[in-house]
Amino acid sequence: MKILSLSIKNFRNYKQQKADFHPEVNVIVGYNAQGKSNLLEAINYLSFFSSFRNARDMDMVRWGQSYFFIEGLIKKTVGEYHLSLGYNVDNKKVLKINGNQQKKVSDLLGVFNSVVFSPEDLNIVKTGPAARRKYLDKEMIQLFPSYYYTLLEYQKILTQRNNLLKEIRENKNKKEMLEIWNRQLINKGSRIIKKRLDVLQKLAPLARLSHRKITNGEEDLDINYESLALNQEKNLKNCSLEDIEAIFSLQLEKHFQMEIYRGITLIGPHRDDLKLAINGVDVRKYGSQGQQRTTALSLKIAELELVKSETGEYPVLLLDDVMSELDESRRNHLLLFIGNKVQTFITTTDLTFKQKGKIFFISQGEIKETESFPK
Amino acid sequence: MFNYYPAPVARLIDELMKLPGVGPKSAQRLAFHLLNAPEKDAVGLAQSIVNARQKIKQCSVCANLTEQDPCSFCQDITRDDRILCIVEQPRDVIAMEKTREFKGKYHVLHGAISPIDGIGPEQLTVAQLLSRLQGSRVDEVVVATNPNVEGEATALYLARLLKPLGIKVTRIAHGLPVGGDLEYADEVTLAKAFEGRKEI
Ligand SMILES: Nc1ncnc2c1ncn2[C@@H]1O[C@H](COP(=O)(O)OP(=O)(O)OP(=O)(O)O)[C@@H](O)[C@H]1O
Ligand SMILES: [Mg+2]
Ligand SMILES: [Zn+2]
Repeated sequence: MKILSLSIKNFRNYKQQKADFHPEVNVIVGYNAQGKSNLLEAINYLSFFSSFRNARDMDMVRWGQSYFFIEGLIKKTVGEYHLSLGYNVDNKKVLKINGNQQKKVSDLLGVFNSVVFSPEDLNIVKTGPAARRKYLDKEMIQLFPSYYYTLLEYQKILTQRNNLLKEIRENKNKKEMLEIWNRQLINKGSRIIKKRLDVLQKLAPLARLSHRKITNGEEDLDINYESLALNQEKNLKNCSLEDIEAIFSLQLEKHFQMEIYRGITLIGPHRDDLKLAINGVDVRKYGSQGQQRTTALSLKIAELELVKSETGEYPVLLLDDVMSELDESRRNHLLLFIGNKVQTFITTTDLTFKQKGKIFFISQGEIKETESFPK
Repeated sequence: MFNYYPAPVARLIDELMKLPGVGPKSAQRLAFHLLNAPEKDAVGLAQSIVNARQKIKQCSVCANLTEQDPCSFCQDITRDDRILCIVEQPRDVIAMEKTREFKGKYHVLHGAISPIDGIGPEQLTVAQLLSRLQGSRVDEVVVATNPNVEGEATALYLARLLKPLGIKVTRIAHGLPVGGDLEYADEVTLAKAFEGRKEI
């Protein structure tokens, strides 16, 4: 999958710009605060219709303006697509494929796949569980748009249920009212867990393979799903949806008093984690900095491989400031993997590593194709 | 906020902004539209609002909006009084009627259970429902609340409340768009959903 060109209007610090990209490597170079990450954000927006930096839509509208517009020409093996998105602060988003307006975000999710790799991702091994859940969920949303809806609904149930728990704690509501939310929590929560387990079964061997390659066969990476709802059942891989629902329900009963005391939902996929181990040792806690980074890199490469195996095409890779964060051997490994098969965008403030492809110089929201870094 | 407008105009804009889905910009547009329109149109609108407000009330049986009490649905003896369809809003009654699938009676809740909005059974017409069911011939209740998390919670609540009374409680099938409102479901899907209702 490639993005051949991009037009943006009133997006972040870009007034109106258009760029034609190289099918392999595009280096986005410029001084700090010129708009390099903003450009990647615009490209990735066409995949998720939200910001990878968790910004609100209204904050991405150029200051003093009331709308932004992003249009990309996407090339897949099966054809070309014009993907466009208009966001107006007053109205909803308008999404179009080849000029035809689409009603739901889920109709457009998965049309254009792109994966961001930023220094933050390098930390997912050592930071909290939230980052690891986000890694898995983001990957899954691109591959299975309906998963997005399940997550949204689960989130709504959670908000309602947490509110109710607090009211019960303060004697403002009855304990019996919890049950009408429990059933939905278990239903949606179990679907999320089941889907994550299924995806992990494919993702884990891909990450293991990549990790072996980077470490010359010295390290074996194991990834396992850690779930409070499942109370660490041994045989997670063979769990059916019904099994998960049954264990989830039991766990919820067990934590009933504690949940009311705390006023929050303690059990469910929103509390789960990925256990990462190298040669049997938990890398999250005991890994060296280098091992943690290699693991993060392997997870990212596995993510790309999984998209490829599920959709038949590699996603577009967006490397935001990540090259300068990787040491030479890991950087080389990544470049070797990318080869000429993954269209890649690399932001950087210097051109220390020589690359084929196109170079774009970004200065105060202007994109200029260039041969080298202008001084 | 609009103190640079003459007071009556500012007040009109303020009132319009209280309407659902009307922001400051639309409120201004509507206000100036009304001020520029022929006087009889504006007065006609104002009078129809007052008229509707004064004449329309909640039916004392089903809580639907009506001019006479009980409403025409509740008075219609050709409708089956053994089956009751529970909806969130009066507009859902109309959506259901358009399918021509349903020939029973209605009950309008005026909302759905939502802890974050402070809405529980007490804020809905649940007490009124229980009292009308007492000594009635109703043996099936079809819960047609919206297919979103609040509508689902409300349906489960009603099922737990009504089943012990020996009433069969069913839920319309989810051929409906996820998270969608009943109002927007087209007639064919709604009719299908009705046919495929399941016991809860
Ligand atoms: N909504 C907006 N309207 C106008 N300008 C904005 C908006 N949002 C952010 N900016 C500007 O965009 C610039 C940041 O751009 P960006 O994050 O792309 O920088 P960068 O080139 O990636 O820099 P670095 O090398 O430091 O990562 C800042 O100067 C910021 O003020
Ligand atoms: Mg940046
Ligand atoms: Zn009535």
